[in-house]
Amino acid sequence: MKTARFDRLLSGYALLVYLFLFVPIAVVVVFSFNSGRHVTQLEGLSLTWYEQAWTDPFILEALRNSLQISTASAVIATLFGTAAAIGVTGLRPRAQRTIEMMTYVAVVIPAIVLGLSLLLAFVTFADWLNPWLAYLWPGDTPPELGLGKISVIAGESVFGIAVVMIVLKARIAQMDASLRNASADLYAPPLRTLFQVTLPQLGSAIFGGFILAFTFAFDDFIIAFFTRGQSQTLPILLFSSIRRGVSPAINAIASVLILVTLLALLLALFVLTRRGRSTAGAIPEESAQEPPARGGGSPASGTPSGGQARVADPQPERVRR
Amino acid sequence: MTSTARRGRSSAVAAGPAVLWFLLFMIAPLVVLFVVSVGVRGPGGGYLPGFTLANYGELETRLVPILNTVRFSLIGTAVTLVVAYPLAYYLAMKAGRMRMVLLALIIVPFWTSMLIRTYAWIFLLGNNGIPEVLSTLGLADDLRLLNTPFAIVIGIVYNYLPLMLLPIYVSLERIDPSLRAASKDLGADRLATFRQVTLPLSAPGVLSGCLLVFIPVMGEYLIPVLLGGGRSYFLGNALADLFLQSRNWPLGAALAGSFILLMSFVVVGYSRLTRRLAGPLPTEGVL
Amino acid sequence: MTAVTNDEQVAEGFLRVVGLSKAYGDVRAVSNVSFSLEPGTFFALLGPSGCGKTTLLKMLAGFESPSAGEIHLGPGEITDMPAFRRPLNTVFQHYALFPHMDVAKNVGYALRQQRPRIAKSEIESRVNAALQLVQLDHLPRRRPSELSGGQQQRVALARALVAHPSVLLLDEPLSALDAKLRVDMQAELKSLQSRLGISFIFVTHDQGEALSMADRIAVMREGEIVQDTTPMDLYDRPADSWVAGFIGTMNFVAGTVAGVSDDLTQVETEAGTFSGIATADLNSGQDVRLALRPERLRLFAPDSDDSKAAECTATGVVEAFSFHGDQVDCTVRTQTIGAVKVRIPLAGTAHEIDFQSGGAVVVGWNSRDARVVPTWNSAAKS
Repeated sequence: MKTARFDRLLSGYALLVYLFLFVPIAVVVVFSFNSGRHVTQLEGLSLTWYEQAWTDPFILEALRNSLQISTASAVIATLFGTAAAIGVTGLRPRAQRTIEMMTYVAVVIPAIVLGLSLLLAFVTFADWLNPWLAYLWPGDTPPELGLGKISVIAGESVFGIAVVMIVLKARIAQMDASLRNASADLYAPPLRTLFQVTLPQLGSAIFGGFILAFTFAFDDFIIAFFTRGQSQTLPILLFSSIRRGVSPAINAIASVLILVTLLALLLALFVLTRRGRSTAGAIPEESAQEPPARGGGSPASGTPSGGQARVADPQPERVRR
Repeated sequence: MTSTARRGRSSAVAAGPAVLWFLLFMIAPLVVLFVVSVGVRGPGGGYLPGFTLANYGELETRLVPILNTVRFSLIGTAVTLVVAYPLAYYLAMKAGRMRMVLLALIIVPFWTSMLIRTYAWIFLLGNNGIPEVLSTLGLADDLRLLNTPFAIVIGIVYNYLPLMLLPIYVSLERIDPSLRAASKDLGADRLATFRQVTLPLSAPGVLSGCLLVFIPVMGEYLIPVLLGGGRSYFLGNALADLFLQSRNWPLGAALAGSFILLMSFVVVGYSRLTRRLAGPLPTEGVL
Repeated sequence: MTAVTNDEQVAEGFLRVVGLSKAYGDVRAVSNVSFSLEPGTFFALLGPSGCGKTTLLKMLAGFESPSAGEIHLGPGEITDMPAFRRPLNTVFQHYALFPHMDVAKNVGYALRQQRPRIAKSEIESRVNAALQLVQLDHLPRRRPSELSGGQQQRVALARALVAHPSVLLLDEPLSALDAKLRVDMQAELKSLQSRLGISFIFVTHDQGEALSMADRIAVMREGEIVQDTTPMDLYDRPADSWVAGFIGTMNFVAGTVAGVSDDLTQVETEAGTFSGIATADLNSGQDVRLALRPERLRLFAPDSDDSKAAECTATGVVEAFSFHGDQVDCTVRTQTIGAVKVRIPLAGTAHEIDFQSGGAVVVGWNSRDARVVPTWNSAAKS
């Protein structure tokens, strides 16, 4: 039949796209285990390149920096982003819109523009502040502001905060507002309501936001490229080795990066779906005769005096809802 | 009353750090960018305070990278759309129970570092990759793939496919199946139904997908450097050179400033269009 | 203030609301509502959607702060007291059970907020007692999502009662249940309330629910309390034509006040002058409706002598009828007062009447069964 042929064609096409998506990454991983020097000829399995990468002090230094930077910016993003996402709901509509605008700008602005603006700002302000610091500093060696890990963290967390806020905004919108009222009604002061009701509800989304912020910071090249100063990060080290030429050691580093990212993704997926499953549990056998809540039950037949009126006055609230 | 005021104050305290962060590390740098763009170039590079529009006038000399970027972004977005739409259609309409797994698989490569994804294609397109395979098979000799416009487009499609696919998928998935059934019931065949029902209803998704791809591609740096071999000079490369090599900050700032302006036009135009189409938000389905 | 000395003598659960209003911008959701409630009253706030009853409840609970007015509970004022200090508890419309806590954790929530802390063992026994009260003590470890609607309802009830509130607020608690369960829960709530002896304030748009459960009903319309009285009085003597139409079924004949004699008021209508008992102070010439309950009307065969016994009559034809086993509802198209709904118990002489559509009948009633209510229309008021 014609329909069946069309479906087969579409499935075949889908398969091709998935191959297109996965073959390149698979090739990188496979060649990272290649024992020969030649990049393009598979000669045999070995972990030589992993060993070489693992003992290279430059690579280790870059890895450490990358982990520090992405952890710090993910922590900042999660703390500030969570506080803001919860706090923003209590602000006046105009303030809410302004903050929402800022989050969207942070997401939409091209990383290269943000990176070089940060470069300009950091350098300009450091030029202004350093003489003052030198003048005011009580000791002999005043600290010198400049580009480095701190400036990279500042830049990465701008995007991270925005991501956390967007993820949480969606979850907060789904949250039943009456839960917070219920908590207050049952004698919990606002701060305890926050910790006992709001945050537990948001837990998995906060975790998801943290993982997102972490991976974006860990994988980011552009912002770090402009704001790093003399510090090295793994993506930047990788970039300069790629420009120098393809080497099997790069495959090893790349494979490790892929592995780290995939583990983070799996962890996030696991946490996010676990909660969903526990709340979507089926209604157990013994209570199945009673229909579940919110089914929008039909109007009762009512008392003798009220029975007729119900027909004449078909409950405006129910209809409107 | 008093309790609402108290609530407002604690809300402001909670939102404060994030807002401060945005102001310090996003808004203030953008302001600095505009200030520098009307400044004067320092003797050894860098920046001296001043006010001149000469930098914006000088942008004329950078027209090539700008036009180049727009051209590649348009082509790249169009090709990505053509590749993504049938797959989104398949996932939304035909994939059945495997749907969620297949969707997750689309996102998985997207989560790995963009650098690595691009690097993988250097590996594949390089002289020892696909060209060598083709020549041993006797299909093509001396084929150059790396450092060509073709490689750049491949890079764009590969890196940005999920951003195009997800919004289209969301809009297709939302279409009530009974609408297509109704169309067929009323005598439209498969193609007519697609053209008159499915395609128009998925237009918002297509539009946000195009925006989500077009904007970051415009600011792309890695793909032209690594896959284009520096031959196709993009805005991003021009900016990086102006800032990091020739250190002509005011001109670079002017270029970046006009880039932002261009982008805001695109975004405003998009939101005008979507308001008419009542489509999903650009971030929907991606985060 | 003199109010303070009065307050000191009042009982613990005595609730007094004075001139309470809530405005959102120009919209007045609740305006100038006052009432007081003896402890142990089952009080229903009844009104259509958007009448302000839920806003009023939220102000009592402390979720909304009033624009004007005062709320007193027992000897003190609680108008500006935050929700978490008020000794009132709420059963929410969709229950608002914490999805991340099991039944026992939900019910014990209020007890865990007390400072100084209550001992674990005491919390446990009080939670168990509260669950026994609603017959759910066999399911303490279930999550809310694993419960049926009726069970969730009971958990919400137990959770709100565990800390012994002086007043329980219920926001349309039965609206999400199906018909049969709702009737069962009505009886259960009523008996629970009389056992506990505290006031229940019950918000509902369902007049049948309010009439069957409440000791007192306040009917709300456009943010105001229109009538605040017992269910029987509300049904028998509605304050105006809107209330008369909102509660039960009512037939209306439009007219103006012609005069008053004894306790009867004469109404001049297009079909002639009728008499009835006025439910409010009326002026001569005022627009009113003659209001007739279907069950107060009688039907006669056209040539029957019995119809002479009725003080007022109108002849017509049966337009529609429906059979309900113990009674018959029919609509009669009369020549003088339009379409009239009549309810006749089947115990009497109804079988003598021709219920066929188109059959000729006489509708009759006594003046003491008719009510004269002031005409209400929203356009004229605003």
